[in-house]
Amino acid sequence: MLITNVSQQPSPSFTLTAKSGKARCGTLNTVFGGPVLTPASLMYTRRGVTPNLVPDMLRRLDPNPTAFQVDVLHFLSHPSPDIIKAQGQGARGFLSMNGAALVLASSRDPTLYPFGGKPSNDKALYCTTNTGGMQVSPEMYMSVVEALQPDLFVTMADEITNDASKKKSKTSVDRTLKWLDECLELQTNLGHGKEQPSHEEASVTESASVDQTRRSSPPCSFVGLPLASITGGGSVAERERCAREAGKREHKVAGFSLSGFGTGEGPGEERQVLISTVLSQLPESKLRFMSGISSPSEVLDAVAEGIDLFDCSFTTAATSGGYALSFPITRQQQEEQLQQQRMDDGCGEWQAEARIESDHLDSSSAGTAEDDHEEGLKKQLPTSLASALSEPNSTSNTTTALSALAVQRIQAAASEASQGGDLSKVNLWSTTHRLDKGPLLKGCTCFTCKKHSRAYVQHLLQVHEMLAEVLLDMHNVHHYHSFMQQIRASIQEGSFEEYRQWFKESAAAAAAASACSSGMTTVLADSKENVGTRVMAGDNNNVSSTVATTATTNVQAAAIDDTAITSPGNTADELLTLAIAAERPAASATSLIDAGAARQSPAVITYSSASTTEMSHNQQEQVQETNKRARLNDS
Amino acid sequence: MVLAGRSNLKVMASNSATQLPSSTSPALKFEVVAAQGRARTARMTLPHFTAETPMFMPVGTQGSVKGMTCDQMLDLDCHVILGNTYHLESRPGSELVSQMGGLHEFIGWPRGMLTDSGGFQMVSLLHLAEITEEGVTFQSPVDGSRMLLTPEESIQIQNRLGADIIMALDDVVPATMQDPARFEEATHRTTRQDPECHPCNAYLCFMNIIGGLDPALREISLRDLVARNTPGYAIGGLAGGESKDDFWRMVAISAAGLPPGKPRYVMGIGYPLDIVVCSALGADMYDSVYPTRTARFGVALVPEGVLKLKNAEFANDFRPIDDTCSCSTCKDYTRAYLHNVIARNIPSAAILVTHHNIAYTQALTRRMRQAIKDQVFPDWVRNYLRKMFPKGDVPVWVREAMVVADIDLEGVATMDVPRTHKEDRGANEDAVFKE
Repeated sequence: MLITNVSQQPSPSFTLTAKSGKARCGTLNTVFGGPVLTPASLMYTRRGVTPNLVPDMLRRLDPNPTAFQVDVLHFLSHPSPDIIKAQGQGARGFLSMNGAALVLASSRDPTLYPFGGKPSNDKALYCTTNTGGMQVSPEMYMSVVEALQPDLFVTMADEITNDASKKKSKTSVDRTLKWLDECLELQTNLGHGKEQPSHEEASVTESASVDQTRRSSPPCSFVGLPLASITGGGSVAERERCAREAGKREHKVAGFSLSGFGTGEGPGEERQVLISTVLSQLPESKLRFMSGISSPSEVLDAVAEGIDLFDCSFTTAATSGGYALSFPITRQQQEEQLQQQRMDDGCGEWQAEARIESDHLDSSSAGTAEDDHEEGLKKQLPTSLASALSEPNSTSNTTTALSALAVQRIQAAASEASQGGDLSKVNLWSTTHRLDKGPLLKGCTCFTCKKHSRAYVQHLLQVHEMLAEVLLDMHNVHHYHSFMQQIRASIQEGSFEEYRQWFKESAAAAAAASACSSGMTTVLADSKENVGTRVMAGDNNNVSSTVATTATTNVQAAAIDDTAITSPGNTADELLTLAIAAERPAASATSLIDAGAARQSPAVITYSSASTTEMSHNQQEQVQETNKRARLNDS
Repeated sequence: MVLAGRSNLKVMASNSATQLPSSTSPALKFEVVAAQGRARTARMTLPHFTAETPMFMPVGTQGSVKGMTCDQMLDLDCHVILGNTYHLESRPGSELVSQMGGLHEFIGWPRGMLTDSGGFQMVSLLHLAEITEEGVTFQSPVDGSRMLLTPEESIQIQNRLGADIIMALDDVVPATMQDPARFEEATHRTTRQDPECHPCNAYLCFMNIIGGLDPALREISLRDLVARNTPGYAIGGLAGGESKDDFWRMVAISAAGLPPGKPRYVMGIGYPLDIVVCSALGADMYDSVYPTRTARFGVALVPEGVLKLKNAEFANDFRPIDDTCSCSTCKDYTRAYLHNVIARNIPSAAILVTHHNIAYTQALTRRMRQAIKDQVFPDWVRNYLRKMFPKGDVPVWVREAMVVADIDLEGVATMDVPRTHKEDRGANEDAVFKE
C-alpha cells in the first residue's frame, strides 16, 4: 500500500498511511525525490558528507539511505552561502546529494552538545564555527537555507537545555516564535516560498536523476519547506505555549521540529510528557521531526508518541567508539543470536561452565551448595531481577524459575561483557576478536558482514586505519536502518506497541543479564579473595544504575536494588566514586579521540565526536568496561 | 620451490616481431604482448590474478589502502596491491594472518598481492633499526620489543602472509648517502642474501638490484643477480631523495641489463611523470604511497600536474578535479566542495581524493598499455608531456631520459630550461627519509 506509482509526479506531500496507537507511518514526497517512508532516520552529515562513508559506499548499502540531514550552521563560512549560490544547484548539486529523496537542513549538529557558549540575543543566535563564535541573524540563517535549497528546513531556534530556568525557557520560546515569523517572512520575500515547481520542471529533474546525469540542477526558485521549531526546555507550560503558537502557523509550514531534546531530560516519563504535550497542540497531518535523541529505545518511545523523522547520530557515536551494533531487531533474530551464542560456546562446555559458575556462587554465598545450577543462580537473584531476566511475555512461572533463555542470556552477556560490549553492541577493540573469522554480527547481510571478519576490523582499529570506521559504519547504518524498517512494518501491522514492549523488555533483560553476569564474572575473577557474590553484584548494579543518569530502557534494572541484595554503604560509595572517575574519560573522550592522539602519522585523519548522546540502550556501562577503556587509553 | 622453479625457467628473448620475450616459473608467467622502443606491455599471470604491465600498485601498508574498501579497489581496476612485511609482522603478525588463511583472505582482496622484504624500513625507520651481516633488528614503536629480520626470516614471514610476489631482503642504503664503502658493503651483502636456500612455495621471488648511485656497483649487483636467474627483478635503492638525473640513469642502466623476458619492478615510484619516464625506459611495475598519501593532504593528481585543493583558488572552482576522469569523486564533487572539506578532518574527504588519485594512476597505466599495444607510445608520451608542460618547459632530466628511450620531443620541449637544483647529481643528500 506504500508503493507509489512511479509515473506519478512527485509533488511535495506528506500522507499518513497507517497508525498503531499514536505511532504513525507516512509517505513523504519531496520536490526532487521520494518517497521517504516514515518513521525515518536521516543520515548524519558533517559539512554535507557522511563522515566515514563516501557516496559510492553509501550506494552499496541496502536499505540504501536516501534521506540526509545537513546542518545550516556548517555553511555560514567556508563555504559561504554565496559560493553555494554561485554554483546554483543547492545541497543536491554542491554536496552531491543528487540521489537523495530528502534533504533536511537543521540547526543543531546532533553529535555535538552546542550549549554553554555565549547566550543568544533577540536579534541573533550565537553559534560556534570553525573560525570562532558568530552571531547568526535570521537573515543569515535564511540565506544559507536559500543557498542549500533543501526539501525541508528547520526554522532558527533558540535551543536551550532541559534544566534551563523558567525565565530562560520563556525567552527561548519568545525568540523562537519571533524567529519563526521572521524566517517565514524571509522565505516569502525570497519570492519563492509558496511557489512550487511546475510539473514540467519537476519532470525534468526527475528524469535527470533517473538518468544519473551529472549535477542535475533543481529548479532555482525553490527554497525549501519550513518546519517550525518548538523549544521551551524542560518547562511543560512553555513547550505547550510554543507548540500552540507555532500550531497557529499551520498553513505556512510543512511540519514541526521538536528542538532541544536529549539535553538532560529524563528519557522516561519526563520526556514522554514533554513530547505528548507538544504534539497535542499540533495538527495530525503535519510532519514531526525530532533531533538530539537517536538511541533505539528512545526512538521507539518517540515514535510511540507520533514522531516521524529522527537523526541518525547514534550510529556515528557507536562507530567512533569501535562498536558494531548487535541489538536484536526481531524476536526471531534474538532467538537465533542466543542460539548461536550457545552453539559457539559449545553446549557441553557451556553447561559445565555454568555449573562452575554456580559452584562459585554457592561457595561464596552463605547458602548451601545446590546441584542444579539454575537453582543455584536463582538463589542469588532477587525476585525482581529474576523476573526481568525471564522471557518477556512468558506465561510460565517467571518469578520463581529462570528460563533457559535467561540463563543463555546471562551467559551471552557475560561473554560480551568480558569483551567490553554487551548484548546490544560488540566491542571490536577487544583483542578477543583477533582470530575471529566470523562477521560482526551473525546472520547480518550488510557489506561488512558479508565480506569481512571481526578479526580484520579488530586489526584495523588496533593500527588506527581509517577503514575500520568505514566498515563499522557500513554495518551500523545497515543495522540501524533495518531497525527503522522494522518499526515501520510493525506500525503497518498494527502491532507497534507489542514490538516496542518486546524490544524494551528484551533490552532490559539484556541489561539485567549484563549486570548479573558482571557479578558472576567478578566472582569468578575474585573467587580467591572470597568476595561475596551478593555484595559485588549489588555494588555493580548500584553503580551502574546511579552512574547512568539517563537510565532509560530498564526500569527494571533500578529494581535490582532489591532488599535481597544488600550492599554495605561504604564499599558502594567508594565503588561509585571509582566508577564515576573511570567513567569520565571514557564518556567524554571516546576511544577514538585518544587513539587519535596516539596516531603518529599526520596523514591519518581523525575526527572527534564529542558526543553526549548516551547510548541509553546500553546504559549498563560496566565498571569493567570503563576500566578496560581507561587502560586502553593509557597505553 | 625456487630451485625447482629455476630448472623449469625458460627465457625466450627475441627482438623479432613474431616472438616477444616471455618467461615462465611455477607461480609467474610473464609474456610481453607488445613493445615499442624500450617500452613494453606484458601480461603477468600470478596465482590470484593476471595483471597487466606497466602497472602501478597502490600500497596497503597495514592491510588496507588507507580508507578504501577492497570493493572500491576492484572498481578502480587495481591489479596488485602491496602489503608491508615489517608493518604486518609488527601488527597483527604473520602467524595470525596465516591462521586467518593468508593476507588475501584476511583483508578480502581477491587479486594480486605483493609484499616487500621489510628492507625499505631500514631507510624509513632507520632510527629504529640496527643493521648487521645477520640481518636487521627493528625496535617496535608500539611496545619496544625487538624484531630481528634476517633474509630467511623475511622470506618466511612473507610466505606466511602468502602474497603472490615476495621480495628478497636487501640491504637498502639511502641513495643520497655519501659513503662509497657503505654502498659496496650493501651491494655485496644483498647479493649474499640470495634466497636460494629458502623455500618460496608457489610464489615468486624478486631480487633487488642495489648499488646506490654508483653505476659500477650497480653493474656488480646486476651481474650477480642476473646470474641467479630469479623470476623477476626489482630495481631498489632509489626513490630516496636522489637527484632526478641519478634516478633515471640508474633505471636505464638497470633495465637495460636485465633479461627482457622478466618483469622489472622499480620500487617506490609514484609520481606520474616518473612512472611515464620509467616505462619509456623499459620498467614494468611501480609502487608508492605518494598518490594515496598526498590525497590525504588534499593534493589531487591531474594531467596538468597536481591540484593543491586547500589553496584558496579552488574556493569558487565548480569543475570536477579532472574533466577527463570517470571516477565517482569526479562525477559527484566539485573542486570548490573538496576545498571546503579537505582540511576539516573529515575521513570521507580524504577518501574522496584518495579515490580519485588511485583512479588517476590506474587510468595512466591503462593508457600507456594501450598506447604501446597500438604502437603509438612516443606520440602518447609527447601528448602527456605537452599537457603537463604546456609552455614547453620539460625538465632537462626528462629530455635526457627520452633521448635514451628514443622518443623525440621535437615540438614538445620547446623552451630552454636550466638544470634545476633537483636534477643536479648528488644534490639532495640532505633529503629527509620518511616512510
